[in-house]
Amino acid sequence: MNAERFEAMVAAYGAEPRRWPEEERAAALAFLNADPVAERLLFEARMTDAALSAAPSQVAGAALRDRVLAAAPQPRPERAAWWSKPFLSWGAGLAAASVAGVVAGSLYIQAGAADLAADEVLAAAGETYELSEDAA
Amino acid sequence: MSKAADPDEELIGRVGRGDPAAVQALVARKLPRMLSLARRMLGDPAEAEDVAQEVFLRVWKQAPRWKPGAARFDTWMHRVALNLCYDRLRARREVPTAEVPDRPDPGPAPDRALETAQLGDRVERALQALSDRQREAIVLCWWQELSNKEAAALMEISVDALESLLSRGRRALRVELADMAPATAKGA
Repeated sequence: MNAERFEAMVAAYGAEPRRWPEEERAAALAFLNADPVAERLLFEARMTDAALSAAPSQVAGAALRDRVLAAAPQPRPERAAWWSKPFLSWGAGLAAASVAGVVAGSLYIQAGAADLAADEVLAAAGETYELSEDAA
Repeated sequence: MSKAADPDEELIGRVGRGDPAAVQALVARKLPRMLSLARRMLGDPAEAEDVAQEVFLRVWKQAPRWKPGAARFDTWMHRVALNLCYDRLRARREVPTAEVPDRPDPGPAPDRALETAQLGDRVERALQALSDRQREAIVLCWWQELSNKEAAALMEISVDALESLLSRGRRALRVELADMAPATAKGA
């Protein structure tokens, strides 16, 4: 860091060290502490800094904030995963219906088999009855 | 441009999914910043609000498809805001009557608040009298507090060219406000 670079840097970025380029800041501060010329070079920059600081600022009012928020994206509805509640309840219903169907079907088959067995018994009994009548 | 992690990345992801808390947080974090940028560039409060609102309309569209890593989200927002400001500055030049209106003369300055307001008014006028590029360089480095590399990348110029714009802009401000030097020195 020399006087020429220090002057150019201050002319561009102002008198506040935090605004100086990061990679030159330490060297510039060392130069400032070591060379009495540096303090003189800061004077004009301080005047301009003060002027910039005096520029009016604008606060974001509630009306503007509300307008901005009104156009913001809304939460996306979550896609139902297979383990989610609706799927689980549908699945449970489907499973219950299947079980009920299987049970009903097996009962029907069992009932059918029982009817068949009864018919066979009756038929056999009839045959026996007819045979016994013939015998008489 | 620094490739360091984007401090807004996680927040933008949540905004893209419509998380209401993230939307609120982003507005709290960035709306003042965008408003300040537009105000310094345009010198007009109503136009600054319009630009800030328009920036956020673009943000809401962009957030769901934002790809981390390409650029910082804050840098992208600055680019959008600057483009909108330049559109308005060009429109002003095409329609000469669309100059920034003069504020009414407040008359004598009986108290310090009015004196401060007058000083601020002078500084804002001096800022608006700079070339657009000098003003942009000063706004990005002084008020938006971007690093020299970030500002230079945003303006698509070298750091040397940025420093030249900053130096010439600050010198022009100093000349324009020379008669107020004692007043500005008070705030130093």
